[in-house]
Amino acid sequence: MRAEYLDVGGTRSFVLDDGEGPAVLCLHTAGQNGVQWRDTQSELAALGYRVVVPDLPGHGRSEPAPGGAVSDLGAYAVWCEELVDVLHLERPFVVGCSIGGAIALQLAARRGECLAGVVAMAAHGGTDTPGLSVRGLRRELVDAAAPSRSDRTYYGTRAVVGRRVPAERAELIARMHRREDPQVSTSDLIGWVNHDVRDVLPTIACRVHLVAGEDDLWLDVADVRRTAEAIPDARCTVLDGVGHYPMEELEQFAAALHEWLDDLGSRCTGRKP
Amino acid sequence: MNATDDGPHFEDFEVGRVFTGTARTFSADVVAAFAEISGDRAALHTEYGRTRDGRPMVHGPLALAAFFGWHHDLGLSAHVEAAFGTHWDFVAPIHVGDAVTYEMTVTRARRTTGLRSGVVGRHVTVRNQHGTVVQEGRTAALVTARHAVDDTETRAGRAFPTAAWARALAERLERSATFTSATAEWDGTIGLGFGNDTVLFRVYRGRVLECGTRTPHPPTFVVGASDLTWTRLITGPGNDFTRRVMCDEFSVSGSAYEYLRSTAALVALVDEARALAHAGAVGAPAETVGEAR
Repeated sequence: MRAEYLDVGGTRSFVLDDGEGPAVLCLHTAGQNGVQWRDTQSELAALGYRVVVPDLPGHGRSEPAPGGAVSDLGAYAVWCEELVDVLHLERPFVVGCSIGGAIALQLAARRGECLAGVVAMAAHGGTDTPGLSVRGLRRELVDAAAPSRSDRTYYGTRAVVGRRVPAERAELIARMHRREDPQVSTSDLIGWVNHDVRDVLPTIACRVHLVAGEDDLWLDVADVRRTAEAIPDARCTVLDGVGHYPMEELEQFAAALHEWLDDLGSRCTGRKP
Repeated sequence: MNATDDGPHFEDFEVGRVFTGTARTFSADVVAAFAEISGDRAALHTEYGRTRDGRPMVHGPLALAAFFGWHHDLGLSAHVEAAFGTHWDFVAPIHVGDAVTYEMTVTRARRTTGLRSGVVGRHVTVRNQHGTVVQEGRTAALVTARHAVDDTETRAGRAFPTAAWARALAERLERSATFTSATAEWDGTIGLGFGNDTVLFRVYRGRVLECGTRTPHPPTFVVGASDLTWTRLITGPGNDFTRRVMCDEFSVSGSAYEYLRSTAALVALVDEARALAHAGAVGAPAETVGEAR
């Protein structure tokens, strides 16, 4: 596995790169970092992929974005495009979860023709009922007004991990999620609430597979289904007993992802370049 | 069921217990008869409804009345002495020919001061044949006790929101390392709202100085929910307080800041309330118990 600090979008950005083969760009959730893919990365690489796991600006080992915490998922999409260019990834797959899934959909909308396909997990193209309010999130940005932030992230994560996940694993996921920068996470969530690419879903030029966990309280599966219906030839999978973090919750996630990527790749064959 | 052959007494209606039975279909004849008895012969109920096939709408109070019939059919009314406060919401229409099911959850049980009977609070969910909730209600009944004994302390575990329950919980909170450390730097009063009733816990640096319904100062915050939510949370299979909060089952009044600050303390409080409920369980399992004759 190669670890690198690359200059992407004016940010010194940390990227883990493993394996050879079709490139797969893996995007993490709000406030978290590439460590969410630690079980997936090597296993997927062993199945014949080049698996690229960045920490988005301000997350994990990456320095903050030049303008401070990012609250527009479109800005992350632009950053991802530059990363793809810097690493010379040719027609990569993009796999993301939560805001990572939403960024993947934004990339599909922006330059789908340059992608081998997208797996967007725990994400939709936008909704009129986001559950969170930008006003409330802005209040959370004032540190002194955001008490017990770490506890709330911990218990909130426990609450959105699926029923199928063993208690010990759920505990580990929640404890790892506590390691966030609240300014960055909250800004990410503002981006999540404002994310809306519904208008351009019908124009997406690559294959998309939407994946939702049945126990995910962060979104309404109906919004995910509506997104799949709006994208030409998109697929939708709802995972039983899984919550908001399939790559952390499912033991054999790399094998499942391999199947989804294989399906996206094979369905691409025969299409005009 | 635990009840003797002559039907359940007060002691058999344990908080958390769920009763279900067979479906009840409202035929055109029954709806017409109810129109006569009640005098509500409005066209909506007698000639046409809002369905595409024009089926008349069943009177809401008929489905409410039929709950008591269902209760009797299940053999649950044998020792009921009186029905008390009954509050019903008509959530979605019921039409002639629809088959509804009743699900009754025991949410409160309090022995009267005379000891020979007790008041049982129940939440009732009414669903149609498609599983859609059409009515929700709360209703209390006075039920004869099998034995006229003072078992306030032994039954305190599920007797929320009584004073005995609050005292038993307060004792556990003071012994809980999680609760005392979560409130080690806190000075305030936690209020728990059960419908219209509030129980207060005056907390100072991990100690519960007092509990009950009144404190000299008002509560710092009150976190409240329906009796049904509390019952499911406290007697159900796991502590899913955060999930229920995220699903808007709880509301907060008072200082939202102090409420958020007390996140870990509240999770610990629910852990203790659950342990108390399960330590004091008198027989029936915490999970859903289906009853049918």
